[in-house]
Amino acid sequence: MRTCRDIVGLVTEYVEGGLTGTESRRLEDHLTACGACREFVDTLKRTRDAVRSLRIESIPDECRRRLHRFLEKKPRRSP
Amino acid sequence: MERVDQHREGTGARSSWTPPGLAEADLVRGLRKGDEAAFADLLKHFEARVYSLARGLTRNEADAQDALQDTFLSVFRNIGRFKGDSSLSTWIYRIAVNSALMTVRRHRKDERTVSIDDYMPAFDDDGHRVAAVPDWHPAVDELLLNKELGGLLRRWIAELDPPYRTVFVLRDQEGLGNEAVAEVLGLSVAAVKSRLHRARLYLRERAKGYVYRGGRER
Repeated sequence: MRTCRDIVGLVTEYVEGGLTGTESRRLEDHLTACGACREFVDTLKRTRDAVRSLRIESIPDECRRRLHRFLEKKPRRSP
Repeated sequence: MERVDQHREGTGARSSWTPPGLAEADLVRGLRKGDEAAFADLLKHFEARVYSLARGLTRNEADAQDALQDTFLSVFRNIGRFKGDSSLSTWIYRIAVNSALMTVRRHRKDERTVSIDDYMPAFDDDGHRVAAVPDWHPAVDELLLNKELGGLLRRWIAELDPPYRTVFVLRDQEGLGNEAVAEVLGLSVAAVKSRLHRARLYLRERAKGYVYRGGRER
């Protein structure tokens, strides 16, 4: 049986699907028996998913205008 | 065209590192010739990506704007030195990371970072979990769903030391794969995985700790 310390060390690889089948099964055996680690894995995924929402898909208009104005004033080649 | 590995569990990961429909070789040729349409094309494809990355690595909108401007000025002025050893996207991301970190360094007096070790899980001698409070609470879920969470997450990420922050933002916020992050930062894939792992544990712990302290920072 793996310990909680072992589980925490492998959890990133596990949630990314990066463990071998044998490693995954051993880890899941522990999760079946250990509610704290099960919750740990679950909450780590939810925190990661929350971070993905920080990605900005479109630049704010004012920010784009400032960028374009800035670049128009600058020579395109190194002085 | 270079493609990056995708998150195996894939929700929200970019399907490709290079923007879809972008012919990099043509774009680079146009930029080297000073073609205005090529400059416009470059901005169209990369300005949001660079802004998002810069916002993740800096502490506020103003610093992100500075880093955004510095990045594209540097790209425009140095395109002649781009050798094509990596993809154009890799090269731009690398410049953007450096610009963002330089912007942060210029405002060093505002920079407070935390020791990531203070947020790692504790275990007893037998390797079992040691927790002074229950590990999670429904209120943490509410926090993660809260519209104001973005500001808190950004603050906690900004308090990571740059070696962790850069990996974490490129990987989990921007959705690049491990190999792509390693190439941008000049690290081994093993180092990327190790830093990512610790940064994720840290952020989870910050979210949990925030709720158990009644919404107060320590």
